[in-house]
Amino acid sequence: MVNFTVDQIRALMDKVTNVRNMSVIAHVDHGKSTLTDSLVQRAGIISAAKAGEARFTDTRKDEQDRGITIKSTAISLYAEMTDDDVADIKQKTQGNNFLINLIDSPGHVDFSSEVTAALRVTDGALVVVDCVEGVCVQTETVLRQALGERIKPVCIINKVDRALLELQVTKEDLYQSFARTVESVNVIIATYFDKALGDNQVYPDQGTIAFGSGLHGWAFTVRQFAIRYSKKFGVDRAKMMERLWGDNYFNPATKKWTKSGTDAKGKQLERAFCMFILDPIFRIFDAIMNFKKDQIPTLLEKLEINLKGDELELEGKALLKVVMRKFLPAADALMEMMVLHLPSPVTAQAYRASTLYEGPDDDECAIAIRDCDPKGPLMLYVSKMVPTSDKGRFFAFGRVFAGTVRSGMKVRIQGPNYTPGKKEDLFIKAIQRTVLMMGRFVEPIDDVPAGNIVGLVGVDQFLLKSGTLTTSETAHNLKVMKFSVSPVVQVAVEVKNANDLPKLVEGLKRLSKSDPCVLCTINESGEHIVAGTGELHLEICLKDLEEDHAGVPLKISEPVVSYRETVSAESSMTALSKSPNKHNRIFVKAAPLDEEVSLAIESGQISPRDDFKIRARLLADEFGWDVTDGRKIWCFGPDGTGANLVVDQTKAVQYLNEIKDSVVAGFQWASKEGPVFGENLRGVRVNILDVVLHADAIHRGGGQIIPTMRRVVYASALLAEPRIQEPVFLVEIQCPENAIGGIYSVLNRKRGQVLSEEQRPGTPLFTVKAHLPINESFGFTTVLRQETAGQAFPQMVFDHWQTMNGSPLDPTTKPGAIVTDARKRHGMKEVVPGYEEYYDKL
Amino acid sequence: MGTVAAPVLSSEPEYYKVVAKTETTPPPRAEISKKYHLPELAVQIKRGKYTRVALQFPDGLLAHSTVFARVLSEELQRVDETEKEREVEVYVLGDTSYSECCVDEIAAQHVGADAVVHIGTACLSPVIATPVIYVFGEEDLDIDAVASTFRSQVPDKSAHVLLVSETPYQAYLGPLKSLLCEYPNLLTTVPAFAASEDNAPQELIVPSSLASSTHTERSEIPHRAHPPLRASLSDYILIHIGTLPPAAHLHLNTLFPSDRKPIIIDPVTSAPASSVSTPLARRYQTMMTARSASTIGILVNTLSLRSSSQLIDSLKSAIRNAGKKHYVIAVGKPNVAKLANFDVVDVWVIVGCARGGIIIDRYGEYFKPIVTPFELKLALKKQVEWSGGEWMLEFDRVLSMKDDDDEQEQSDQDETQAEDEDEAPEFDPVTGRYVSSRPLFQSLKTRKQHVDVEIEGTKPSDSAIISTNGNAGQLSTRGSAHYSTAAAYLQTRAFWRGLGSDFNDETDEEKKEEAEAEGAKLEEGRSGIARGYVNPDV
Repeated sequence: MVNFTVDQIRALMDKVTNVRNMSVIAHVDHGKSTLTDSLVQRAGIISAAKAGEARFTDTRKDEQDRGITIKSTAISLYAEMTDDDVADIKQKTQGNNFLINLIDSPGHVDFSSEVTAALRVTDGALVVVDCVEGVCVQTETVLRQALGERIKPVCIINKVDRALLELQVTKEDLYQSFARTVESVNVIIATYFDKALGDNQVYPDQGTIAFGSGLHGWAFTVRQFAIRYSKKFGVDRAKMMERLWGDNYFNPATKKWTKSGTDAKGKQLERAFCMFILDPIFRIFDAIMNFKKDQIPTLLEKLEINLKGDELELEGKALLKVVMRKFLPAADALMEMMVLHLPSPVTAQAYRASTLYEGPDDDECAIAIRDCDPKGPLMLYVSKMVPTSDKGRFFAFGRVFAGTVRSGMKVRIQGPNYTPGKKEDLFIKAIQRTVLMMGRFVEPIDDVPAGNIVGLVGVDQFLLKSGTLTTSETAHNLKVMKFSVSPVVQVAVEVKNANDLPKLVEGLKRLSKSDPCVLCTINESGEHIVAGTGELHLEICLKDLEEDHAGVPLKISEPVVSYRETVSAESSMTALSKSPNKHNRIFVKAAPLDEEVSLAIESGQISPRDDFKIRARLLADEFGWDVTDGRKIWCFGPDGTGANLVVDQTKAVQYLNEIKDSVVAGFQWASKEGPVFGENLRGVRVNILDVVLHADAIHRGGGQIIPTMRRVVYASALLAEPRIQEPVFLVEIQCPENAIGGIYSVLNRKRGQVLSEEQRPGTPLFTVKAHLPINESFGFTTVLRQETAGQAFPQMVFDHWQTMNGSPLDPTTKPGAIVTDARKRHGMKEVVPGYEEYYDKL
Repeated sequence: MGTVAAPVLSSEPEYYKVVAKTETTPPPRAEISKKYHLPELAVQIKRGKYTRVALQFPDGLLAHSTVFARVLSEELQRVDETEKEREVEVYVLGDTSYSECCVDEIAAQHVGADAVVHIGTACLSPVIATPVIYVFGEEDLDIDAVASTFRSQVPDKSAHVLLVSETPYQAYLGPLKSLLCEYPNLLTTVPAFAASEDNAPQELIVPSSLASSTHTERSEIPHRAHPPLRASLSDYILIHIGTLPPAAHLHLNTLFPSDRKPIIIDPVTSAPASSVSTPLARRYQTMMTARSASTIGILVNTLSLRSSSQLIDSLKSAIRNAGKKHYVIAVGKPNVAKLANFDVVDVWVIVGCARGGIIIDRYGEYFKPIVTPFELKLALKKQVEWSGGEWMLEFDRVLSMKDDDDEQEQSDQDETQAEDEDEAPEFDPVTGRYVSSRPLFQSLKTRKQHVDVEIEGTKPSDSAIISTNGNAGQLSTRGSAHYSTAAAYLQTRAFWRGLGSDFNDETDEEKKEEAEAEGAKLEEGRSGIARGYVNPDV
């Protein structure tokens, strides 16, 4: 631990080239928090005032009970590098002191929205991969998210001790295992290749991968060993690094490096990595764990490890830990990797600016972000709200991308729906205080310059979850975060005592603020709905709601999933609706949108805020759209952003522009509450073929057009073979071979579909991947444990919307039954009205 | 599409779909006379010394009006034979402006009538000034069938039962009660008027036998009276003959516990009606929507109900105190299209007759939600309030609801807010988002501050109506004392910005080329009335 005053930390912030903002991401249980701990113990900054009482890892009680991280926590680290190391940094730096802002994020898929929020404020990511389990489903999810945000990854292969102690692998096996893991990480990185970011694959011989054990507190990079050996062999360090990985062999007999695995006589040579790096580690393990006491002192001497006092008394695992920690301290390896290979805010913002900012890339804000200019206009993104000790109030946690934020400064607070020049979602307010957030601690600080992470007091009432703070009147928003998960599992909550209602409503507000992804609404039947990403997420949210945010006893319904309505064909005939006065007619056809387009809209790749020409080009180039159609997208819906489109295909209709607002309003309405059972539409493209309008403006007003547009969308959707979509989880289960039978039988019963079954090389573990409808996933974990004697643990993450087979209009099919049931519940007529209800004859 | 017909300006109100019976040919005179008790009506008119009488028929019974008027005139003359000094003029009101169960005083005033005869189903809501004679007219009812339905619905002979009917079936209640003599605890109700005030106009029912004198106790059930109850009302089973509009149905439901909902008997089939009332929970959602509305349309669907103007005033001041904007719009027979014309409005509050003048949007057909005055009053309170079972429609009860003490609220706000800072948005539990729903709060406060400032003798702060900021010359309404929600709304209009914007459409390259050729030149047209047009060609 390093004791600093706030002023000293503030001084470090100014040297923004020496700041690293990074998050630690990984699959659940791969050891993020443990690794973070070892870093904090070594290099964590605590302000001098708080020294002694600090406990950085002190978090929520349920986090400790469950052994999982739920909320992400930020901490600051201080690193002092040698001149030698600094010389290796390929970006601009200033001096040897570095400030690292690190965010530890939860690994469980249900909380991956926390990861998204963490990624937004950081420039680099430390990806932790379990050496035994390898790359898992969440590893891929978070890595994909990180690359989408243009976050540069470095990697650590963790839990190497397990491979050594439990699996007793040989050196070559271990190397192969490492190589495979590195390979699979690189496959993912390569898939999401981004030109602006360049090659991001991780290479052990470049020092962007570390190997280690968080639990034992040791880790190493190839570079560290290269430094040791380059002195010994008198070889250039860079050359040494290359030789210490891959197919490089050292023939001790000839003292020559070769590329082939055999010497002249065909004798197998030992790989350089095994010989120079793994060998000492294996020897330490062997000597200590097999109690070869006589060998230990010589070994230690050779490796220049000095044990002190009572450390000499230790033996077995305890001794191993101490030795390894002294030999290869984890913090050193990680710090070196972060400082050397992760970008500083200055470097990162230069290429991130265009993905961060919604506005044009040449206005003052865009330029200030690109240059990370502390003197430019303030651009600050609030990525999440952190509860304060004062109940109901929150710190706004975010990153300064440009300018300098000060206490008392008056700023424009722009919510996610703000558009420049308009008043909606815009507030002007003074920031009461700026604070430094270090773990659980908060230290007031006067100002924070661009490139740093900050907490703000006094703006929480203006932002629900996230938003942009700026001082420029012309600033556009910083891009709204897109989550990889969506709140598809919902429950209805109700107060047990009617007088507690106001507390429930207030509690729901606080819950909405404190979690980036939870959604609290009231449905048509007047029930308060809390929607989360999965069972565990909901469980935690409801517990918080009941015990903390609302503090009143609640009745909670069984979880249900939300559905989507879609169409599976083009409308069988042109749908026509007449306005109430019969003088305006709208002719449309509905058609399904390609799933790729829907996904692109949902991921923000195609968004209503894009320039229409660029959007049309993208649609034409990548999704095979007609360019003219692409340019004539009138709107997205529902809420102006959903994956449904209205395309104008009319020819020379007079007054058409006048009714555009009304058509859009009607479409938002119709796509929010679909014709089948009032769920959102998804993946529907409505083509307006023709419009007949009354010559007098008064007779083609909103009152005539809005309800008509809604009717005609309904009619066209009902004519286009309507279907319903249900959300589907991707389930990944790791288990021993004998449990596979149980898994299959449970999956079969729950309408699951197995995608793949693979044995993880070098381990007895199998990985089963399957799709499972979320509707069937409630209680899945419990059943699975019963059937497999507790050997199988599923990880479930929302994967896609699956169109259900069978017409929802026929009550005998499964979708039909779901629809009838939902209609009954919502007090609608039980039978879905036919298209005739909305269709008018010419 | 060649011919252009005149647009349909008066379309049917959609919530009237329940009333379906329309007769086209008038029945014989004798039947009319008997059905509407015309001799007695004539006597009552004479007794009231009315000289000009307006007959108000519901749309379904308008076919009876001519015969009715003729027979009534004859009857009046027959009464006249004794005292010949005055002749009574009879007018038929063609179309009711608002709900047809209410007395249309405005229409009656157009002909200067000094009394209205209201025919058919009546809501009996109090009117402002004109004396009213109600003639319910007897609709057909198969009382044996109703009695057997009754027996099957209420197996327990000792149950407390309250028998209520729509006004046209009132005459059957007596016979029905004697038919069901095995139920000792069966009570019937009679129509009753609101407690009379000093200047209230006279209200009468023809035939007068329907208003029984033994039914003394005013009921919780609106406009009904019954003999003293032997148990509390919620212990009674209510049987209602005649289907009800949704609002009245829901209101009736709220008077009883959820396991003992009123049983509605359909008079045509004599079977229990299948229509289900809107669950009250649905109204909770609508009420919550109103909480986050910034512009509220007061939809006036009556002009003649007593205290409607007081209610409108009270709603206006409540809305203003909450910092929201309101518009008062009178719409006869509102429907989806009429209301969708006002897209500035976020939520409607409908002031209308409790029986037929309240729209309950059961299937989400309306573009913007519609709440009742009671719900709006709850919605405007600072703290969320929703009293489990209570739901009221009567104007007087809504008027007596307590509003929040707004002074307190404002002073709280002032403490933390500097002058040029914005009001914090509120959490909208319906959509789970933040909304700013008090657009006028700022100007409310500024106005108040201006007063303070003047007393101190310093210069009042900038109160420019419209100021331009550096932002591309866009009109801004920020910070001014005269914030206009309408201007703000127009600013958010995405596409059409008025005449001429059509051919400067950059989104369309083809059109852009067309636009190069410019639009037609403006020419001066004809002016004045058609008779005065000068046609140069002739």
